[in-house]
Amino acid sequence: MTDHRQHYADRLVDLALSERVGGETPSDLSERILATMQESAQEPVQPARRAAHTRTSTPARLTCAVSVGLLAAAIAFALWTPPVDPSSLAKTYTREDLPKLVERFNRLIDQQRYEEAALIAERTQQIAPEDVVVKSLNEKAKFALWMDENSERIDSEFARGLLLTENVASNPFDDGAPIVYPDASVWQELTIRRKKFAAVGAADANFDELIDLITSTVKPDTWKDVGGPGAIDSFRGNLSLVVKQRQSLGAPNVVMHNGQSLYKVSNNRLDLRFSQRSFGSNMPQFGGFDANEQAPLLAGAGVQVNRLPTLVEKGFIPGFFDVDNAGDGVPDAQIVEAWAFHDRREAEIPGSAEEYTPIHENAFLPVRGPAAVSTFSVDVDTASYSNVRRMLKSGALPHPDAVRIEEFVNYFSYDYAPPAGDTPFSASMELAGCPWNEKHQLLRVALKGKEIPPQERPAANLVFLLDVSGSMDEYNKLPLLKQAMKLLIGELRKDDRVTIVVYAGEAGLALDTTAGDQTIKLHDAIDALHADGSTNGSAGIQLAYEKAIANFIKGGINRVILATDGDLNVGITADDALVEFIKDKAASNVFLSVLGFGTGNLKDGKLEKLADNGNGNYAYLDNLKEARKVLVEQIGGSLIAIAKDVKLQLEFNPAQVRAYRLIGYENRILAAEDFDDDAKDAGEIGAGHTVTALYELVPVGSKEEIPGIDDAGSEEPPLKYQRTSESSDESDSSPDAGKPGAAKPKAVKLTKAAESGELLTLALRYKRPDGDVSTKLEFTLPAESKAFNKASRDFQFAASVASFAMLLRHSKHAGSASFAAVEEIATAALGDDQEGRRAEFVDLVRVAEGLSKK
Amino acid sequence: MSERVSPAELVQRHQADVWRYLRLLGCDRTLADDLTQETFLEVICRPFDYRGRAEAGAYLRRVARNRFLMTVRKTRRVPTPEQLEAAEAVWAENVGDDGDLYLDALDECLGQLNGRSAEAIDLQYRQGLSRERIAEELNMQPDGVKTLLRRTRELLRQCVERRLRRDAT
Repeated sequence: MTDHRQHYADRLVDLALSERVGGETPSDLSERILATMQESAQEPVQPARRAAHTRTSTPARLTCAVSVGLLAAAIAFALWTPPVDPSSLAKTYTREDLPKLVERFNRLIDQQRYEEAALIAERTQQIAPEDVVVKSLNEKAKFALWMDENSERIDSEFARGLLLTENVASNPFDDGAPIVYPDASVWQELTIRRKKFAAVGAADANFDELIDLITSTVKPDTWKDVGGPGAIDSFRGNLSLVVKQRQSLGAPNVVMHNGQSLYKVSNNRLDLRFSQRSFGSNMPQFGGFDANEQAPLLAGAGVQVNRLPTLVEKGFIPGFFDVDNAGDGVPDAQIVEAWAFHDRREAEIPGSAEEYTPIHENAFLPVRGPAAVSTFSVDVDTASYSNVRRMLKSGALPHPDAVRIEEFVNYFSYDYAPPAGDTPFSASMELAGCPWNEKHQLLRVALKGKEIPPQERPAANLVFLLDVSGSMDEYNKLPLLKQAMKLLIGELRKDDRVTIVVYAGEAGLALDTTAGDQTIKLHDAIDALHADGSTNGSAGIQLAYEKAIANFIKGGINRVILATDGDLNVGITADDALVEFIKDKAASNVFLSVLGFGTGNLKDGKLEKLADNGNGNYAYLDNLKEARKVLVEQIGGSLIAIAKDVKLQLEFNPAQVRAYRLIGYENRILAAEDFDDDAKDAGEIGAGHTVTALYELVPVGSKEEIPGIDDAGSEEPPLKYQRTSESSDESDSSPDAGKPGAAKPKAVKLTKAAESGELLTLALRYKRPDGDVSTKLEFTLPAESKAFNKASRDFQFAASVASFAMLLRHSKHAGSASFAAVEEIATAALGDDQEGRRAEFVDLVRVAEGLSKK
Repeated sequence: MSERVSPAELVQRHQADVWRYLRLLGCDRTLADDLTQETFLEVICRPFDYRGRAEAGAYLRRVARNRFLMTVRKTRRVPTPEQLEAAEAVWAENVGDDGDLYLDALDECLGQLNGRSAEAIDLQYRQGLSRERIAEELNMQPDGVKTLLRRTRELLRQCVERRLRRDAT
């Protein structure tokens, strides 16, 4: 269906709904028409007055009045001249009608019915041409129509990546016709958020200094002060900075430092013409502006309220960057950022050196025989989500294998109840309808690690193992890493120890072991780091572990933090040997954390494998915000392991569940017998970490054909809910027994426990961080499902994240999932979202949807 | 074969669909009222043979469309030929010569809506609430409401089209 047809088809439904549901039925005009005919025949003069009273309305529409008069006269005399005085017509509407007309105008704009809105605007102009609201209305209408009429050209420019350049700039719209960007309500929200920051000490934001800093550091020769096109303005009302840069600069994303923080300004391809007009809170949505600076309005850049979703679909994300000028961790202001990519090819992955390990999604398994038991290791990594976010923001859909569903789900924190007593973590389960397959159910297993307050954190012995090879010399690699390290160091104490080892360049040891409170010494060492072309990895990893072991803190945190963009020339070249080395060291309770950086060279699979084997976690840092999340907000989770080798085992009850599928965790699946084997390594849980696992369940009674689930296994482990029997006689009480076409599975006899009404039994095993013997916990869940929309908000949000990841993976299990559905569910489940991560997720969904349509 | 139809009958039979067609083209209620009157006045005062509902409907739509174009031409908001063609095609495929059939089909489809979709439609169309108010009622974000309404209309459109096709066969 073409866009035009789509538009009219949608409008037809809209009108029909207005008529059927809203009672907006067509007027009965018979009497009026006939009266006009008669009147015209008898009294062919004064057509204007006649028109005014035969019409249902609007004398303001002069053209119609004239033509009715013409027609009427033609009936009788076939000749007529219309001496109509427009001002006499305009008088039927008065100023009192203005609010109603404005309201109607807003509604029409809201429904993208610009032509009708323009007529209303015209009408208001006849009432009060000098009124500021009326003027604004007419400007809005003009702009909306212009956008609408030029939408194809604009879209094609978007498609070619040329983006509203000089064409738009030369368009007659100017700052007198400002457009709220992104939207008045968004600004309101932002203002509230900014004010929250202000409340915690950001009120003294020094905008002038900050602007100086930006204009002297980023493309210093392009700013207005020196005659360039770039402009930057502060909006104290909501603690924002608004940046305008000409896209013709083609400036890449720019990173700047002031020794404290890092900023990114990347308006390069969007010629935003921000005006300093502000928006009056008492004015109607499109009705005007006043002199109090509350929010900047954007004019003339081809961006307007109703096009924002389109803009997002085209690969833009309006973003808001915290600016921490004081370096005290409290944002002083934010930089409004719009990403845009003039050439999508730049962003695409093919041809780059990034590597992803193939993922073969878990299939449905029958709840029959040994397959009824599902065993896996926890995983608290989050790198996949931030890495994919980076790709989407750069305008490319991710490689499907870059999407690890469990890391998407675990990226977000959830409000799970903390553990009670001495247990290091709590476990809970929830069962509800599955949003992408109405016949299935979704099971959530939720773990929450014990919180450890910062003052109770054990002393830390941290050895940074840093990649300073030539490839790290990019703004989002070593400079970001240095900022991230400073953030982390800001959290350290006197009894902590820091060592820095580098593995490219000349020397191995950049900073010998130093106390955590020696901030100046530590910062100096960090500042002295620079990426060097030469590679000499011989010192590398052995040295790091040597240092870690030499400074080992008993009962403390002992960790090597490897930071790299993927070049693992750390002194041991063979992958397997490296993994073995790290595993061996982990056994001595020196753990490994991996921080991934940058694009184009990321060896994602390899880094994840290293972290997994080093009893650590793997995070991908794409910006300072992420660095703050991983290294400051979640420092406990990132550094303090509260339990290691955490394994989960679920046994499903065949009287309740026909088949199940673990969503994600593909590289964490364990054999059932590994569960009780303490020699088998598994994942760690850090302080405060939440771990979420989702299962898609096919309930008993479903007739759905699911490939593979009717083949029974051959082993006979002792199970709680079933026993396999030798012959397939009437003792077979399995719900699927005798199913036509089934491949004669081995008969299953249900045990007494199967009648318990339990859905499953969850068993957990974990070791204390320095322990060797595991502890086992067991929970059961009654088979009571609820509708998806009755599930907890966190459940709904996690489900939306999982279905988003499945869509990005092109999963065959995605069912009826769609980006629109993900957006809807996630939007409704935003909850408190203080850090804005869930809202950012919704933005990403829109971006992915836009990209997927290309 | 032509039949004699009085102007009053002609208006009675066709005014609702002419009005709806004008609304489809982009008129608001008031403008649709005006142009419907003009359309009939123009048609009635010319020699006109009534050759059945379909043909008369098509003729009235043509006149209405010209009226509409004359009106919008001065405002420089003239739809492109492609847009007009699309509007006409959408009308011909869905409404044809009896708008009530479309509305009946919509009624049936509305009966199948449930949950938030049904609520959102009711709040928007029956109660005439703003998107923000609907968002409050449904505990959603305004953007979510917009998406929900768009998706629901799309589902309704598909449902109505299926029904009309089924009825046609």
